[in-house]
Amino acid sequence: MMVGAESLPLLSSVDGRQCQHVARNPLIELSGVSKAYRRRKRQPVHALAALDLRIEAGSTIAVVGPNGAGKSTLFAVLAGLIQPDRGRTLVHGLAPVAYVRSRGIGLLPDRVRLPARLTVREVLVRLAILDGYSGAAIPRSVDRALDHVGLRERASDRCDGLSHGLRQRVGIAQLLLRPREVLLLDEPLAGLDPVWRARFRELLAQLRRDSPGRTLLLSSHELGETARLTERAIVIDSGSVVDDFPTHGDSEALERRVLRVLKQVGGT
Amino acid sequence: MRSCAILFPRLLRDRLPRIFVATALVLLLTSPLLRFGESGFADGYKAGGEPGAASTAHLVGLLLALVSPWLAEGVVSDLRRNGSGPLLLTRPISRPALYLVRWLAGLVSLTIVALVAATTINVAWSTGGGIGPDLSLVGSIGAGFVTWVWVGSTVLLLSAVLDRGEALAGALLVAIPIAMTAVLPTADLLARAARVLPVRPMLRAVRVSLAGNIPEQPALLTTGCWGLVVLGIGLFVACRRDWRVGD
Repeated sequence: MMVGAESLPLLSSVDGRQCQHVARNPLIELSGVSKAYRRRKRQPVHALAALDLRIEAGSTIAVVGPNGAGKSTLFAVLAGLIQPDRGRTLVHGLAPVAYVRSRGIGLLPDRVRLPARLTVREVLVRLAILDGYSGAAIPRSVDRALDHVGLRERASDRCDGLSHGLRQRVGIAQLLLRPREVLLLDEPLAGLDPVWRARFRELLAQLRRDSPGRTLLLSSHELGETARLTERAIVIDSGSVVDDFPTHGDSEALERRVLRVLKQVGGT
Repeated sequence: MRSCAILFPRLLRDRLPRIFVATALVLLLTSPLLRFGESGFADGYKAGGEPGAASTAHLVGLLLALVSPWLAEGVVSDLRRNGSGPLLLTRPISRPALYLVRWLAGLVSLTIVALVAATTINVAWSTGGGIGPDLSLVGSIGAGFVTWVWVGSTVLLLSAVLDRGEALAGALLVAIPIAMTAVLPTADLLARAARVLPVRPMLRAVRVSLAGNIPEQPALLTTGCWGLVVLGIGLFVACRRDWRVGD
């Protein structure tokens, strides 16, 4: 349950050392990255159009933009899940697939899809194994993650019976099994009730405290909440970065500026 | 690789319900199909014309080939379309290793089906004059291997190329030759395809494996090699594919 979860460490000491070591010079760099989705008998959708972006280590970035702006595609490219048609993408000096292979990336997709037949615990056990846990460390890491998202009592539920909000919490739990140096959170607040939004804010703050070098990209349509969680905003429209500015935690200023920019470029 | 090794028994456990159902299907269908075969097909072919183990082995081999696409379900599609692909593929693991361990779980599953089916058929025959005698237990492992390495790998390849589930790919794999023989007036095209893709050697290898003559069967090796080539291409294509994550 949520009670007492704040006091639980997110990382083991070994993980902490790993992140501190990696955090000295991580960097995300995209130059001229384009990706089009081809559709049968219809015009292709240009999800990313010669996108340039540079993100320093330890940044907490909001990626905002209208529906279909290319936010999820950007995350998928960074996670090595899709190959861009053109351009260069580097994560810590490596191609995304090579980076993921060596260190892993924390990804919370906009729709958390889980194998229907498995229970919440079974899913997390399998992911914990792929995160490198073995033996008694597997149930320990799974229980810790379940406690953080208040799902210990639902651990035996099958995934096909979970509500959207609960699936989202499973998605957050899998991030916490072994928090990575780079976290990509696509609409993390979707489906969460106010209590769990507040809890999610605390979790993010704790992740930052555990490893100041951790780089975090968060996409959301909820600009008020986003301003509180991030220090810099990148506005994307039609697959390109159209604005890039510090948020200063000011949700109203962020909302005004994003709307103004999107109106100027015709994104709303 | 160590993670994949730890994951393997769990993948096998996930498939247990399908293993039970597939075994039941093979056993339930063997006897009536043999009887039907003995009464003769429209083209005059009689399965009973090859008495004893050979006809039973032939039929069990075909049934194994039919259930293997269903056991393959989950190798690709569970990752990409319905399942937790993005969550799995952002872990620090090798993608080919992840595919391979899922493929191996399918191989062991089908081998279990072949072994249990052969044992049950043998016991039924020896105790009550059942449906067919003396299927080789060692050969059933070989039959499971050959069927899976060929059909399972082709299904994986088709699924990855078509970007569709293994069930559909398996249905296509079964439907295409049936349609070819039904629609085309001549079986010549099928015969040519069978020469290029070792369908007949595969069936022969399975049949002869079950009947217990593995050392005399070079087709076992040939079809195994072919299957592994298809598997290699399938893994390559599947690993190169993009993954659905949103818009």
